[in-house]
Amino acid sequence: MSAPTLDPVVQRSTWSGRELRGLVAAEVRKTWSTSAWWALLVPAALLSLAVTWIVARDGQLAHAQAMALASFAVTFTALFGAVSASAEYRHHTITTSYLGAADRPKLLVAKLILAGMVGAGYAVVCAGFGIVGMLFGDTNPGRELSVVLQVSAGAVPVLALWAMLGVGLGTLLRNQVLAVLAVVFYLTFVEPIITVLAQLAGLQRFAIYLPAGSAVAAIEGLSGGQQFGGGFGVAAHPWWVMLLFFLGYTALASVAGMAAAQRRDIT
Amino acid sequence: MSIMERSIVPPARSTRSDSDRAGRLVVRNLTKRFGKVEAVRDLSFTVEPGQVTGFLGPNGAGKTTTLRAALGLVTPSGGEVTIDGLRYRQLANPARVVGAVLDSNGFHRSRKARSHLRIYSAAIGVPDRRVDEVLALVGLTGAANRKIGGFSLGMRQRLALATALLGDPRVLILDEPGSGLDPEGLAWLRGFLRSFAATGRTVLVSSHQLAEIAQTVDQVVIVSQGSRVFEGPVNQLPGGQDRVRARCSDPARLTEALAAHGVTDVQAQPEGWLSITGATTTTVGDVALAAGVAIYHMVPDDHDLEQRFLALTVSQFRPDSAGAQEEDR
Repeated sequence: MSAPTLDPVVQRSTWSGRELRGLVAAEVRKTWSTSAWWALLVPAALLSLAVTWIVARDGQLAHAQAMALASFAVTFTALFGAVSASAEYRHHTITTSYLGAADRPKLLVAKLILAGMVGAGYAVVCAGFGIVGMLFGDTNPGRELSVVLQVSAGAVPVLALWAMLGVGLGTLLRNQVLAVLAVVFYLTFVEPIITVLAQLAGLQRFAIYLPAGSAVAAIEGLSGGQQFGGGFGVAAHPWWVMLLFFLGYTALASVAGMAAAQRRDIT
Repeated sequence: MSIMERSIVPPARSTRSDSDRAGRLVVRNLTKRFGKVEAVRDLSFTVEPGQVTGFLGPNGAGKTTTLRAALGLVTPSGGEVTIDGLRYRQLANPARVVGAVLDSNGFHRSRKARSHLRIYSAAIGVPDRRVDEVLALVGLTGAANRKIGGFSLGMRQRLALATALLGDPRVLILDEPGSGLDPEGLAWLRGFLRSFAATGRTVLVSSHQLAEIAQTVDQVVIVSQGSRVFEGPVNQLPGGQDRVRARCSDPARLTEALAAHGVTDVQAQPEGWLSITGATTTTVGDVALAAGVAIYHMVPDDHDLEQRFLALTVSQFRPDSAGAQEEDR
């Protein structure tokens, strides 16, 4: 039997860094050439500013920053991921994308990397606007600066993961309207209702094991254990444990999207 | 798609020894079911480099499904399609080997043409100057910075072709590229495909109209209801006979001479024209010379080509064709 052919074209599709860099560069260009990234960032930043402006009047600055980042910033960041992934199906560009990246998981990984970068960027911008909001709301904003910065830094990995989770969801659902509604509906109604019901049932800490709950708990842990949002009580685990928990949900969404995309017929 | 299969299969099967010739596309026992609908059924054919192959069939015959299976977009229920002896998904950088024009709507409408192309030049690793080259090639340089949403269907077809050409592929696959093109655009496309094939590269172009591509293609593959009904040169379509129309100095004498030569189906037409079935222009010319009849005008009559094509295929638009309603799958 002859040796496997050595024609470069025939060579096995391995994960070469060069190829992945190309795909990530393509994702950057996809994002940059459409408006979703800023159309979702603008309300996220302005609403973060509004939240800290209002909440900082009570003097709890870190609390205000955590609240801003864990609410509106989270929602719009997750929406960015969901919108960017489902846009490929909405505009039928997935065909061309898969022609260039026939090994489909590579395309999803490139999208996850891009989403992680954009999510981190959202965190930085929203944290900045949150700090500006504090300047309006509080006369002595320097007071809790180190904790505020700690919370802001914690939001960077959390929002990066939220954008990635959105990509997994958008890839899984494909339908852009459905993906957007799923994100908004889940964050606004489903998880808050589950949280309240669990608390009524006496399960105070149950909600921190839910997706948004674990993300909030990670940020909350960095704010010095102050309560906000669902009122989870004293953190049961350190912030990084909750971050790992949320990472698990992100991985789950990504793998689900990858598995669905792998067998999907693009007709 | 194990590593074993990849590395061993092409050299191991002697029947496929030739199938990895650069640019050859082989459809082998391809079957695809969408739920209960069998879009493609045990379809096999070969597309050779250096020529234009037409892929014909009525809407719903399975053309699009076959092309998408060749491009790794649709997973076959059975069989496979190989290009250079490998499945699309096994090619290391497929867009550098195969270019495809599938869908004139595969664009984000708010992107500019150049932005669209720059995405895929990055994805497949070709330098950005290639973007301007393909824009020039399809005549869209002037529209490079316009949003695709404002493009006509013909411009979008050209942009789809430009996208397919980014990787300078040696195989070009086009699904109904003629739709939306005006006669001028169509003529340009024909010329382009001919010159592309003339450089030794492979062109597979689908259409539901024989007339649209008859002048362009060297070979045709005709499918109907997911199965192949013909593969070969256009003029060898079965059911057809050579037919010649000729105007001559003495129709009666030529008719007689042809009859003596065994060509009996000769119809007299107005103004001295004869419609001769069962003979080529060569035969008629030779017979006329021998009989001393002057030929003023003679044309081979391909008029019934479309009829022969239609006779081979079954339209999906039958009253009770429950399974064939998927639009152009």
